[in-house]
Amino acid sequence: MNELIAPALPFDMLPRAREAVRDVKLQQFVGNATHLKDTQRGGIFGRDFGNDYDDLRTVARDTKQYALDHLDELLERFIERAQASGARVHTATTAADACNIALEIARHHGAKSCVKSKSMVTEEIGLLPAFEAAGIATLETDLGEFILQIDGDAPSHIVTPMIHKDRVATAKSFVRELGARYTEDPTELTMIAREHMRGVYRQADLGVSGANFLLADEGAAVICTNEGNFDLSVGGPPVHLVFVGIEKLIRGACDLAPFLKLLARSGTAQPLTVYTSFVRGPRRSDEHGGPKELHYILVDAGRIGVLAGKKRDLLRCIRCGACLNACPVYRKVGGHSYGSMYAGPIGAVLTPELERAQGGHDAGLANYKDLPRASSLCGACYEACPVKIDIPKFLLHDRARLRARGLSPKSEGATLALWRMLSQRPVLFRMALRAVRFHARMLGKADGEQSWLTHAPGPAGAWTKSRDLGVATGESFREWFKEHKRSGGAP
Amino acid sequence: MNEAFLARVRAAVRAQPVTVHAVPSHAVVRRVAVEARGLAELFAKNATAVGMRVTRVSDADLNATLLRLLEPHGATVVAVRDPDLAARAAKSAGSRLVANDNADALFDCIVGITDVECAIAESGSIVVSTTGRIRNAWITPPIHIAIVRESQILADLVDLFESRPDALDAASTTIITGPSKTADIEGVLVTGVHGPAAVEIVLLA
Repeated sequence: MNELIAPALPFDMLPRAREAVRDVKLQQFVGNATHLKDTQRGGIFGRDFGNDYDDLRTVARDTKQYALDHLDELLERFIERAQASGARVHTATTAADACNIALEIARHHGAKSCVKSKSMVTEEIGLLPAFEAAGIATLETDLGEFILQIDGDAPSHIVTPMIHKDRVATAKSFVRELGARYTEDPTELTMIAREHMRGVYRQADLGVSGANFLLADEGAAVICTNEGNFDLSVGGPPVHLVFVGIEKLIRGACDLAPFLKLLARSGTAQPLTVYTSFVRGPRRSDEHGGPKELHYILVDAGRIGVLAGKKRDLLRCIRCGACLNACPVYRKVGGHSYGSMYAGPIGAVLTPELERAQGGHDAGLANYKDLPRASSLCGACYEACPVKIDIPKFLLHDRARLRARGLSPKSEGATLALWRMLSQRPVLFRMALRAVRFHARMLGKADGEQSWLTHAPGPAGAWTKSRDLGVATGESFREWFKEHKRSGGAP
Repeated sequence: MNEAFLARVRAAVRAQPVTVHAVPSHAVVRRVAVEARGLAELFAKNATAVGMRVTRVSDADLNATLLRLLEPHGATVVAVRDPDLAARAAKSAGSRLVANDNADALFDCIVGITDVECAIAESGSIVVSTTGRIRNAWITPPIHIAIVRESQILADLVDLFESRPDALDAASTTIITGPSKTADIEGVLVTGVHGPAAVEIVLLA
């Protein structure tokens, strides 16, 4: 497993975040790209749904929640109908189970090569390392994932996996790994990758994909891509393996429209992804092309535990990446700071929760104790979420649990106690505030117009260990208000 | 094996109260009325907006249009379910025509001609399936020519799922909304990454 998304536990976020914040290029790429996507998302929803946007999210929320609340029925129906269509359905409790099922199928067919469409759950279970160890050469066919693969890098965003990389890095890896001539032109680079992969598609023994949705009524899978690599990856090889988390189930095509409309708009501000592909069994006797065998590998890997727990809502996530784009913390620290294939706000709650569900009592938070604090609680993630997952609520819940288990910094409790005492004593409160402002100004370091406090003295230093405090300049609001009231000027 | 797994899911579902007992109405999803007039115009506009080229012709002009589109290009596969359209497309392809039962040969084709199961006005999409069409003829060659009849245009996705569930019966069905795209390298939009760089829609009145 790549250490970037599967680090040694307990995971320490701070060194990675610090490095990311100092990386000028990363700040530029991730900052610009996320800001642009976030703005475009707002634009397309405003244009197409106007004031009904919130109602649309509510409908999607309840439709997906219904599926989770009835997941046993839907799963049973899916298995029955998928089997009726000629597919084989396997269930995998752990990541290792999922890999072993695939390896067994590969062995049975004597498979030596595999082409793979983008899938988060295969990152989660470590399918690629398992295949490589078994001597099955595997090619990632999504362009971003391909570039990460040849660089030994890992995805840092759910939808745009190489958001942290630029064309220069890509150009260098293509020269080094593919023997291509040096070019920084994105179109030329893309065409080099295209030609390279076309050769591999024709030879591969296995096609692997994930799925965005499973339809219980139809016993079908739905896969959304923009590049078309899914159809090429699974259309040629004789065997198609679909890896999919059980939370992707919905009732059927009757419930699909809201999600297709929300997924593409939330992720990339498109009305629909370019290719929305339905899989409904292996090749029929009267069809030309397509796999002779279709296998579904339905993955638990903690999901059943999440379903049973207080955070069932998290399983509504459709992996659109909108909360990452909207998050002021993700924009600064980048995806690798979260130590998981699920970065950003959703990752900050989902990663420890999946770990808890697999590792037993509270192992999750103890292993990822920085994640609940990697948020300003501004609520942008909740506003961006197409299925209305209240991420800030869960982050707060996790912070409270960290504190109850003595995993928060000691100074946090002391600070809150001090705050509680001061906030009930107005005179003391004002004096304390003045003292803080005075000291902050004395200790702050100027950076242009703004001054920052980077190392607060005493116990307050724990807070500035992972943040800088913007030093307030000028007068306080109270002073300003008094002044304006006296001079009679309207504020 | 699957039974034990299902039993665990059953227990997990029961471990929390059901919060949503019925799926809500999806009325808010619908922005285009099924009986709306001008669906062909709407389809043409939206298909163009996502980067496909739409040529509107009369039925009689189909062959001339195909000939013009095919003129500069080489090997062509015809994956058309409708027998009448298939014959006319094959005639237009002439000596460029390659056999349509060998998936590997698709990689050597420049053009794939298909008809469609239906089209969707709201998103400007076309729907193709493996019923009567060789799989991936619409995605492997760099140019895809799709023949669409105006009468095949549906209002929106809900209309597709409600009124044409048979469109999803094939082993593989794909809703196509534009040429193959990526913006993985620095967000710069590039078309034709894996699938076709050009999608030509011939819309028959």
